[in-house]
Amino acid sequence: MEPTATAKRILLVGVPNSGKTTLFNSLTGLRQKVANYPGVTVERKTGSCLTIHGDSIEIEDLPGLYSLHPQSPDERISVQTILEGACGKNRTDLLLVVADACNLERSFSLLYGLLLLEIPLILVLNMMDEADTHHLHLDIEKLHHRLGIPVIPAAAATGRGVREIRIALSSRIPTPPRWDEVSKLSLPQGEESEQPHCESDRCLPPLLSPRLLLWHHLSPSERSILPPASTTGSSIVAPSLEAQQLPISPESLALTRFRWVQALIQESTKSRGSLSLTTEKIDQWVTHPVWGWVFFFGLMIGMFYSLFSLASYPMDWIEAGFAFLSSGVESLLPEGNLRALITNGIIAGVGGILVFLPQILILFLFICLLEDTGYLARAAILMDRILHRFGLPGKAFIPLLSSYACAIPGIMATRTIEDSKDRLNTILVAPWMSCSARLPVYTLLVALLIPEGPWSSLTRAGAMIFLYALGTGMAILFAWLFRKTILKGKSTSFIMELPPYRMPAWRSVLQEIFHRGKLFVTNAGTVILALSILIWFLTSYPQNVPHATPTEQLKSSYAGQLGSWIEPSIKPLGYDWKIGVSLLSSFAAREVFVSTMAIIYGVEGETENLEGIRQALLQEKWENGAMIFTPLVCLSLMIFYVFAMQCMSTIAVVKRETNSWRWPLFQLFFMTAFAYLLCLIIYQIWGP
Amino acid sequence: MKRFFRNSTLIKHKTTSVFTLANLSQYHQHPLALKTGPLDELPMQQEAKILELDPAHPLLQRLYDFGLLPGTTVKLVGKAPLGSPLIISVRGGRFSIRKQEARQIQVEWLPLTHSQL
Repeated sequence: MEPTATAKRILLVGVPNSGKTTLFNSLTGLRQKVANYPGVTVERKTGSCLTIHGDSIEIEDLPGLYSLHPQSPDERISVQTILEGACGKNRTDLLLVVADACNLERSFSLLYGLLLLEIPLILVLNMMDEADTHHLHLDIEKLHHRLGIPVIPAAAATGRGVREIRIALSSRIPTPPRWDEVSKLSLPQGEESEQPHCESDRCLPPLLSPRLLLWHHLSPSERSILPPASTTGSSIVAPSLEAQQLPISPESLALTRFRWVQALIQESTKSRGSLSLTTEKIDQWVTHPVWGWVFFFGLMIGMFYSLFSLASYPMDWIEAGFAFLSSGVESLLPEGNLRALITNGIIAGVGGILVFLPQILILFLFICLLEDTGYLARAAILMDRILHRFGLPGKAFIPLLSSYACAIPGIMATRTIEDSKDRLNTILVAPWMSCSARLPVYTLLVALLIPEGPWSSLTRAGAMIFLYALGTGMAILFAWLFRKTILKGKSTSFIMELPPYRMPAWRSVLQEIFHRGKLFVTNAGTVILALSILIWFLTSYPQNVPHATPTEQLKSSYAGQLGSWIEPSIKPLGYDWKIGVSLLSSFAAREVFVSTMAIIYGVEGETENLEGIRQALLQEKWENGAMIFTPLVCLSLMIFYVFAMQCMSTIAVVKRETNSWRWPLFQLFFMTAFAYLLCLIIYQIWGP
Repeated sequence: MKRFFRNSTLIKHKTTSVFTLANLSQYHQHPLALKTGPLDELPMQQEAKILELDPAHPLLQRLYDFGLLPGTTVKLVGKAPLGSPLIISVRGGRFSIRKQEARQIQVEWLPLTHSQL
């Protein structure tokens, strides 16, 4: 059911790793990624949830944040949405605040800032199952009484408390908390806490107005969202001018905030419990000077090995399936244009790409598992010292690793990088990490370069690793170069929360893989299907020569004409016009190279599978009879695909993320020119 | 070594309960002084109380958000294989910070607890 205009609108707010996204998934049923890495929810996600009465509620899942003072672009989105909601610039009925029961200090510190807004709140204490195992007991009643807001214990991963939250959302909106009540907590009451967190002279005087505190908690860019003091009808307004100029230091604000947090925790916990040392013990191993690297490289090698070995079985099945389908169509339909369209156009094109589904799923499975368990954050620490030397922050490791799957989620994941130059640098080099769309191209070219033999699977894997290393190495080198030239500036700092190790939420991981697979298949079913038909049409028409050989027909076709037109510019690289056509079609998506090849060469023979394309390519000859796909041309093509920017979707995402055409166009021309030059040099030096 | 100090008379003196060799010289200089220094010089598992954060620290706001304030207890729990970044435990959570940025945080070493001895 679609939410109506009058439906309640709820913002889901919480610190990173509080299980906010898991809760969002179980409330809305709209599945998305659940991960341990801080700030993985960089996209703004909304979903709808049904109340117990059957009405629809709109829920927005905001990126995680630590306070109302944003440090990164995704936190800025959250703070702005919350503030605009609080002062009526967007319609927000309620904040659903998710707190991690095992890490109350950080959660309550955020809650303090949200209470200042004096808008309706519901507090969800998540991870209560984990708190129970650590014998951490919380007094829910007392919290509710103290804060004056509904408090619901939950464990979103197991579904505990989700029904109660739904009921709370169904009933009428709770009255907003009153700051004068809430702030009483931090008033000194006899016995001081065990750890004095505030030397009295550094704390702020009690009972300051919430408007004043809110104003000073915000960063200057967010202050402008608050309506001026003269505005009436808005619940929050900016304080008076003299209050704005009060000399309140960020330190005293933070001290006051954490004193309140301490007081609240002391009141609401019945037993403090003992936190598990498992995370600390695992960390000692994975950050060990020797075993840390052994584990890291072992994991990476294992990941790439299974990518090529495990995936080969389902790939064979898919190939066999399409070959069967193709022969079935051939036996049913009479020879003619329709049969050619279906077998050479559709089945060869779409089949040529669906073969790579297993590899893409395995890659996403690995990245998801690394994120969910919390290891990815440790890998970022491991890599920081190295990446930092090349002008990249350790946090760039996650976007760069994701870019092995696809540059688009990789580039979106850069939103967790606080510094704008660091972020831009990561975006600029991310497309050089070999994405999964290049995998089909590499697989084909490596198979072409290295013939089947006793050691072929090993040498082929070696060649693959070389291509991945080449892209990665160059990405890091250019990051360093960019930092020295166009992105000059002081090297920036690095701070990252390390989530505790957790078992991955298998259901959520599988949903994520399913979602990725679906996206890939629908892409193959729409974009690649359409392109396949288009390329088939371009290679088959105009059919003006009645008894021409297939090669002559192809050459006189539209595609042939286009290819011949660009041939002079790519001939120095050793490519003929057929490769030219494939290169051009690759700008829609790299993997189209393989299906274009399948279609172009399918004109001359039956090719539904990799081996078929391989055989067809090996028979290709120049007019003088020399082989086209010499090892050198294969190598040059591979290198072209490693470096050239050939992805329209990446260009669109970079435009959106950098908010200008300058950087995507820079990438397009710089990367492609670099690829062209490198291939030119290689072919001209070692070529005939 | 630890056993030696545990049996020694020093332990009865309340203010001198940090037992490392580096600390002994400090003890000789001033019997009541606790060792202070930058956060990155803490030995592994050593607890310390934050004295001061450099007001020009590039991560000041984030450190405040994590609850690193004057008076807060922190502990060094790990180091990346190449010595930086460090892993610091604070207020029930842990985070990592580069050596040079930890250097800008002044701490006072806290006495080792009985379980650590």
